[in-house]
Amino acid sequence: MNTLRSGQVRYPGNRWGAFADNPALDVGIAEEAWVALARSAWIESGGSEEKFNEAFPRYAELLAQPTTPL
Amino acid sequence: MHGEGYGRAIMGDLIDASRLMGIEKIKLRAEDIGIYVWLKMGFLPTSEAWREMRREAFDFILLHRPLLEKDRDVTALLTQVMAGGPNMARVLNLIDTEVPSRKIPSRFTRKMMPFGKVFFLEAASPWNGVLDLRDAETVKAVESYRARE
Repeated sequence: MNTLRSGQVRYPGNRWGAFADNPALDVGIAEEAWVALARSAWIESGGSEEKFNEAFPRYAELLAQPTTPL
Repeated sequence: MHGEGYGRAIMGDLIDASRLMGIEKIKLRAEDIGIYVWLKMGFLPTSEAWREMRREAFDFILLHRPLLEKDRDVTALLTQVMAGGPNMARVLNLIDTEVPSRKIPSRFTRKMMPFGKVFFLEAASPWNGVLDLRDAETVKAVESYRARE
């Protein structure tokens, strides 16, 4: 029996769901806050901010931009 | 249901209710698409779950090393992943180098998807996780999620 509503898609055999159609789809914590959390994790584990910026240059640029208060 | 804000509303209610009841930690079992999504909601694997996830991540990074090396120092990445605790799962998620998916069909070749999604949606095992409401940095980030339009 097909229980899917119109517009819903099932992807048997994988977990991708809506991400399959749009791999750039974002959920949860906003990107800037997420990058800040990841950088904190990196530094907490003994890594330097410089190395983080080298590993994730796009995100380093994001954090370097002026932000508006949450 | 995607895009209608249900997840945002549920997380908001969950946090508010937890605070009212004085709950400090919310625990769950992340399975299926939740293996990726709950991480993005602020949950982290337990130490035990992280040990397994870290081993899986190590293997997955090595598997895709040639692609990852185009964007970053893979040795430095592996060093940090192995040295770090459960919050390093957030760093794994951040890796956006595109790697071939084994699950998403493509007509002529394997579809390229961001590493951070392919790892959690195809390679990582289900995990037990915790949202620590005493962790001010995480709660602030979750609050930013609640405020998203």
